[in-house]
Amino acid sequence: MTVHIVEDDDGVRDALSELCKSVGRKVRLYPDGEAFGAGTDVSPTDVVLVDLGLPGEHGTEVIRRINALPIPPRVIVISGLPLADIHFAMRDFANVAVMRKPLTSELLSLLM
Amino acid sequence: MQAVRRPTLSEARLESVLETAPDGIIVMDEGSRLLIFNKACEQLFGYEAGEVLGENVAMLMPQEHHDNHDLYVQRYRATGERKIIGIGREVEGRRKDGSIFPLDLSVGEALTPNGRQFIGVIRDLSARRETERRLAAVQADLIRMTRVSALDEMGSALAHELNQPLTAIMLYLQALEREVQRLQSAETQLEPRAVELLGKATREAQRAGSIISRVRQLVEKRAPERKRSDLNTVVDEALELAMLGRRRSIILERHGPEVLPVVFVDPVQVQQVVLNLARNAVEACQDADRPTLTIKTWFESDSVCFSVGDNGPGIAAEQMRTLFSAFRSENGNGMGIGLTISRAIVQNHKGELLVDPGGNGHGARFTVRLPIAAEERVANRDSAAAMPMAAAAEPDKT
Repeated sequence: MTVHIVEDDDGVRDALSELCKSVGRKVRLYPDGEAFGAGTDVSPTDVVLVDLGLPGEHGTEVIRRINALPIPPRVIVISGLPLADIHFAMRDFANVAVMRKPLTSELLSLLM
Repeated sequence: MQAVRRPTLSEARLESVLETAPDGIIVMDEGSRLLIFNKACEQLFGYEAGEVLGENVAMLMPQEHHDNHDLYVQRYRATGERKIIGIGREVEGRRKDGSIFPLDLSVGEALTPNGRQFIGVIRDLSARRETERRLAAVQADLIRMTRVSALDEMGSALAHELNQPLTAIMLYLQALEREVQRLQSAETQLEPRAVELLGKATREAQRAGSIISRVRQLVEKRAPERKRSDLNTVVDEALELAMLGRRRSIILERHGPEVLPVVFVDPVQVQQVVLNLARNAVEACQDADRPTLTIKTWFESDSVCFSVGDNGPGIAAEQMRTLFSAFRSENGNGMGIGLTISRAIVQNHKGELLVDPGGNGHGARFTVRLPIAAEERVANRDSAAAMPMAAAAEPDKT
């Protein structure tokens, strides 16, 4: 299982990657949605962490592409946006897990 | 004797001027006795001319001036120093019913065969005052709301910006803790002091996290106060405010149907958006040949919309990237904060704020869409819910 991390903040991306590695996960890092691309090299057993407030393409566009894959992998949204903005952005994605920054150890249990 | 004499031409002219003048006109002699009190004065003060002619003019003034007026006239006669004659000023008048009202008074002086006479022209200022007071109140409201929203927005933007590094710190610490656990289970000797410090660092990071969460709850809690509103009225009132005190004349082009479907919005918040967009637009087109703002309102299947456009240079591509960032804005003119607030307000109303950057001879245009359907459903449900309660209360009253 590989954890794909789509996050524009360098510090957060690196820290997420370190945390994933500390529990023995492989990671792939993307600074934005464009770098993540079509998601064709994501396997159905992988996990994708997506930040909503990405520069350029919005995080929800990335989720839309992932959901269009034949067998979509699990997506976890991480966001520091105000709650109202998150609800608004996620109105079409009822079943996606959302975690607000700062992240608690909840994330760790989701990854293990 | 005088009454039977036919009026001369100039007397007849004077009579007609006094009758038709929209302003109050009074004439008094050196002893402050009223000689002329025209029709407009009768309406202003509530006295018939017959009640006041020959009386002291002080009866038309509030008590405090009442006692001093004769002194004012005496001082002028003694010194020739003009305090009001030929100058005019805002003073207060007293109506027959005792109420006080603001008026603009111009005083002229005439030397007649019967001695010195003073002519006063009076314009009622109470309507203008009332308008000024109402405008000032609306403006104060908006300024307060803008300040509150700006603080909210600063608070949540600050919380967001601090949140990123804090998130990273907490994740690093979690990773480090995993590392420590692994080392200890491998029975490698780890300095107990290091474990203790790591625990302390984690606690402090969590403390910072909970402070940020609290700030957020505070700034996210405020819900807009929504009412059924007419977008045309909301937009026009805000435009009036936006144009106040503009020294350079700006051409305002207003398009849109007279009747729009009712929207369920917080009118003060939406006015803030209009005000923000209009101010930005005025700023943007100030160097244009004929600075023009184009404001449109219209209605689509499920939303009521308005747009604010200008004939400025448009928004440069590099400015577009950071247009809505309160803290990253490079233009430094506060546009970022205003737009961030505007967008937050529109999103709170489940609407959209769209930007057409323009360029190549076209100005920028901002469009706001506010949905009607969902909000109207809420309004209908609320009024339906309120009705059974009213019906239930009815038997108790009787």
